Amino acid sequence: MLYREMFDEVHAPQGLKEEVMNMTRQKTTRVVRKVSAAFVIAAVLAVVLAGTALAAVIGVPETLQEWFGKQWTESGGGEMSEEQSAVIDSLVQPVGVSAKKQGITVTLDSVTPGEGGLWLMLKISGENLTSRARFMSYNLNGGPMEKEEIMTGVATVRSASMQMVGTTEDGTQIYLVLYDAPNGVNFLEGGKMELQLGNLNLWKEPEKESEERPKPETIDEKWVLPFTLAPTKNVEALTMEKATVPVNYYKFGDGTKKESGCYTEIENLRITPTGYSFQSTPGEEGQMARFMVILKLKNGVEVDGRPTPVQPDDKEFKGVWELPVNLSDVDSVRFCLDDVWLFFNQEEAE
Amino acid sequence: MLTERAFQDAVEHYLDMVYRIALNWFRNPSDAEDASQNAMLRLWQTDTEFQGEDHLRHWLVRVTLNECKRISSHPWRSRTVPLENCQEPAFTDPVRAELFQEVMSLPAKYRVPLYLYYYEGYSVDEVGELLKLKASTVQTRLARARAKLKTQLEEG
Repeated sequence: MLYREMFDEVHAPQGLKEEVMNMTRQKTTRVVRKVSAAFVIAAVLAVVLAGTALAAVIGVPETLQEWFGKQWTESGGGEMSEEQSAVIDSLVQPVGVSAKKQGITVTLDSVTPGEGGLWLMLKISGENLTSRARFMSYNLNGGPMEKEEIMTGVATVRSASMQMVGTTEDGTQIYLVLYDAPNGVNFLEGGKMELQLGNLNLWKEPEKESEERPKPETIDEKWVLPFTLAPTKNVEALTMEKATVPVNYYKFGDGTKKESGCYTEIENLRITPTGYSFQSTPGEEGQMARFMVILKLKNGVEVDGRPTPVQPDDKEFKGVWELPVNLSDVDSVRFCLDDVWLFFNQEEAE
Repeated sequence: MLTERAFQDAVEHYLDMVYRIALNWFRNPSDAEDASQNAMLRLWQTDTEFQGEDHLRHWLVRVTLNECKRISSHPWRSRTVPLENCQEPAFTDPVRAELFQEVMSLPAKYRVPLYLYYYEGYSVDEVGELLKLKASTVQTRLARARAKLKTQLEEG
C-alpha cells in the first residue's frame, strides 16, 4: 500500500533519537521514592525556534521593551499609550552580563520579573556561531528560587520556554526565555541570581529542502550569568474575592481522563501588571485543574495568559501575561473553556 | 517506571511512530520534534505499570496526541506553517514524495485520523476514542481525506 510505504520512509531525525536516549543520563532534581500512585506532570523544557527571514533583516526586537511592543502591536493594540509604555519601562530591568565559551558569547540583556515567571532576553553571538543555537539545559538559581517548595516523593522538574525572536544583521541571535516560577517562588521579591546555560546544540539547515536536518554540533560547555534582580515593590493589583469559572480536570494513571464542561469556585483572584494568581480546590483527589485566562483591555485588545505548570491536587494557580499591562486599561478577565467574563470595579484596585 | 533498558527499547520501537503522529499533527518537523521529545520524557518519568506492548503503545499514542494538543494551544506557538516552508523527508521514490506532499496538504483534522487508521491500524472506534471524536465523525473525515487525495488508498 503506497500510503504505508510512504510513511515507512519517514523516520524521527537521528538528533532527536540521540536526545531522547540521553534522557536517561541527564541529571534532574528529583526524589525517586514513590509515595503514592499519583501521576506527576513533568513540566519539560520546551524550546521553540521561530525566527523568520524577515525578522533577520528588519525589526528584530533587541530589548524586552521592543519585544513587548511587538506583542502589543501583534495583539492589535495600535499605538501604545504613554501609560502602557511607562508600565513596561518600569518593569524591564537592564542586566548586560556576558559569558564566553569556545568563541560563543551569551549576553543576558534584560529581565522582567513577575509572580508567575521571569522573562529573560538573551543574545548569542560569536565567530563560532555558524547555525541556529539551542541550549539543552537551563538552571536558574539563587534569590527567590531558594524558596522553591520541594515535595517529598514527587519528581521536580523546572520549566521554561525559549523562543527565537530573530537574527540581527551582524548574526546575533536573539532569544526570549520565560522561566516559570515553581511553587513557592515569587520573582518580584528579587535577589542575587544566576542563570546557567549548558549543552549548546547548533542546528544547521539542510542544503536541500528535501533532505533531513543534519545532526547538530554540540558544545558541551556551561555559560554562567550572575545578575541581581531588583525587588519590585508596591505592586498594584485588581482583586476579586470569589468567582465561579469554567475548568477542565485531568486525572492521570492508566491513560488520561479529562472532565470538561465543569465549573469551580476560585478565591483571592489577583491581577497584576505581569500576571495573575488565585486559589481553587480540586474536585477529586489526584485531579489536576486547568484554567485558560485572558485579559481584555478597554480598547478591545486581548492579552493571553500563560499558566505556570501545575501538579495534581495543586490549589494555587498563577500565570504570566504575554506582556505587562497597565491595570487602568483592564476591562475584564476572561476564563475560556466556556467564556466566563469577570469585570473589575476599578475603585477596588489596591 | 521503566528501566533504562526498557525505555531504550521503547525508543527503538516507537519513536518513529511518535514522530510520525506529531508530524501529521503539526506538518512542521521542529514542532513535531518538540512534541516527540515531550512525549518520550513523559514515558521515561511515568509511574504507569504497562500490561504488555499493546498497552505501552496505546499509552504512547495517547500521550503524543495530548502533547500535540497542549503545544498547539500554547499562546506562544505559531498557529500555522505555510506548506512551502515544510521540510520534506528524503524519499527513494518520487511517487512517495508526491504522496507525502498531497497528505501534508490535507487539513490536520484529516491527516491524523488517516495516519492512525491506515498506518497504525486502529479501528474507527479506536481512532475516535484517541481523538475524542464520534466514530461517525472519524468515518466522515477518513472519507473526505480519501476523496481529496489523488492516489487511491487500498482498504484493509
